[in-house]
Amino acid sequence: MNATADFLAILLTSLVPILAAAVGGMFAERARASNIALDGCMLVAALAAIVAGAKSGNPWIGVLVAVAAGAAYSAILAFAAFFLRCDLIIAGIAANLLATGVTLLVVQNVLDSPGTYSPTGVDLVPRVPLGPLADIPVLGRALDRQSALLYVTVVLAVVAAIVLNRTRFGVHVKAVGESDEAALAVGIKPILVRTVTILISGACAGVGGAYLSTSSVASFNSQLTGGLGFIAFAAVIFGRATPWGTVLASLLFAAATSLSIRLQGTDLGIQQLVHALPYVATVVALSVQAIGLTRRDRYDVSETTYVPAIIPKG
Amino acid sequence: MTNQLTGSENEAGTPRAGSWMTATARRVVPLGLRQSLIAIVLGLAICFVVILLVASDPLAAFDSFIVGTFRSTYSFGSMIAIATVLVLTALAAAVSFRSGAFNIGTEGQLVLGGLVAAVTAQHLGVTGLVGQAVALVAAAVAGALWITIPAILRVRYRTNEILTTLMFNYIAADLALYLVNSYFRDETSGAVETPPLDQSMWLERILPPSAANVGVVLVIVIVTAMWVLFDRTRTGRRMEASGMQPAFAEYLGIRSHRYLFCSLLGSGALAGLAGGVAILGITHAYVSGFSPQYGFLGITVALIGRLRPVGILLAAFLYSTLMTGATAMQSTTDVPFALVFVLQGVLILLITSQRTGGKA
Repeated sequence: MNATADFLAILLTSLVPILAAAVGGMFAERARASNIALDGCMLVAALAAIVAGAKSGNPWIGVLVAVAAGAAYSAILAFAAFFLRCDLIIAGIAANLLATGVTLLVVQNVLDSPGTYSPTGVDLVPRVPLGPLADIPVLGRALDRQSALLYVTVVLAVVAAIVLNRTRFGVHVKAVGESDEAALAVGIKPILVRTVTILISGACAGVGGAYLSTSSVASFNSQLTGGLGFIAFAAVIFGRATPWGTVLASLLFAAATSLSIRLQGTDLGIQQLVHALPYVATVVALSVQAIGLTRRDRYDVSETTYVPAIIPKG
Repeated sequence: MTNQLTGSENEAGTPRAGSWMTATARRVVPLGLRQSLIAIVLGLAICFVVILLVASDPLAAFDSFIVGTFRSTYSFGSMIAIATVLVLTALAAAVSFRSGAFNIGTEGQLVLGGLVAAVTAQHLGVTGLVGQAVALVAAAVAGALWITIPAILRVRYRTNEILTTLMFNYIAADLALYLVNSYFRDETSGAVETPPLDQSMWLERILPPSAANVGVVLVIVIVTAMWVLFDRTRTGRRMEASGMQPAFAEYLGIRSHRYLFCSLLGSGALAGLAGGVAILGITHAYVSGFSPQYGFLGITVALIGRLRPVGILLAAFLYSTLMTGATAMQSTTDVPFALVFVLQGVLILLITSQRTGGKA
């Protein structure tokens, strides 16, 4: 019983960054503006959170700054895609690489630490004790003393579901995703909607980034995300960019992550292999989905266009 | 949708379900020479601004960054050694890009290729040129094998290969760590590395104190071969056609899937080979973290070189000049090596921008 509860507790812990980023990514994906730079946004936001938290002494200011930083960083992506007219996917990959470089540069040069920045005396984001409710079997133990950002993320997911399915803005996002021409015809500006969704995805990824750097230990290095942003992006695709699908996919990948954390604690001698479990799970999930789709659309020649074609000119 | 024809060669199709995720035509990103040049100049300008912001002595830092490579034979040799690896990873990226797929997993293929090369060289029993050749081939095979799963998924099931190859990077890192720790680790060393290779397995050095090695000859041969393949053979043209317009290629009688699959395997093999060259030529043992992101840097180099073999050769030398310059800069001033990674991201954005290229 306790083992289940502990597993659930780890699952919820690993859920926060994935779900937070995936919820935002869902908007962007829905508007056909795949934000593959979620990972970069998280990384930049994580650094912003820890620096702001250390300077101000208040973790919530850190979280707010992280959200702003995530949005600002994704603005670079939007700028590149819509002003510089880069291809969105390539720009996203570039933005991820840029995030590693920028955070390394800031940590090494501005913050003067060799690679891992761990300031002392930073207040962590508070954990919420459940009080008497902690005595509820399983759930009480799993939920007791979870980070406050878990609740923020859950609220975020609910709000995102409502916004996407029940508001004018959500309809606009879906309209832009379905057809630019139709959206234009009724007076929606596709570029504007896409920019907003990219900013939203950056801001949500910011919450995940803040969680990574300021929830359990206050430290940062440029490998902090470990591909979580890409796992979140995969969760969006696996969940077909629907609110429920995204939540369930995030839960699945979080389960794989927590299983990997659990197994690393045991003495199997294959810790490094177990560490790869979330990535394997992501690949397996994507391939199962793709195989299913291919079976269904067996006689369809239209290719997916995630992939732009680059050609040398002249 | 439910007709019972067998075989996967399609005649006509209905739009795929969930059409907001799919569209009909590839977005084409042309790379012009002017774009590349403007991007390099702008990228260096941005670097200069960054250096102005962070350095205490900006001019000295910028000076080291640009011309630091040419200050000593040693750094010049390191530049050649790094360029050797970069050309191979860039060619790996170029092969996949030109055939219409994104192999972002060159880093993982490179790491495993390097590990396989180190282990083969260690346990082969054959030394000299033959041994080196076998180790390099083994590295290439390892790289190709590592991309097989994403390639099959991409070709048969249209899985998003950006995500799968990227995930395989992380898996490769874990796998390499596990293999080295459990089987191949040098017990006398504190670091995660394999025992140093016998000197007879080292690629011959051409500028003795530095790491520059005969790998550069191999690279020039491969560049020539790739140029012939891309620009002078039917296969290269078909490869590109099947990348850009798969359906059109099928109507021409080109098995586009087969070309895509083979190009992806070739891309993986080149990346694996790059790992082998880095191990046999530079580090002489598999050292965990031996690659300063050669795989990702290869993507940048491929784009600067406009996906053309000769362009890639020039771009690789340019970029590795900046990399060794950055190493010099890191040791003499307070600007860290990470500037290279900033430049990398900025360059990709600028090069693929359709605005810097101007009209046609």
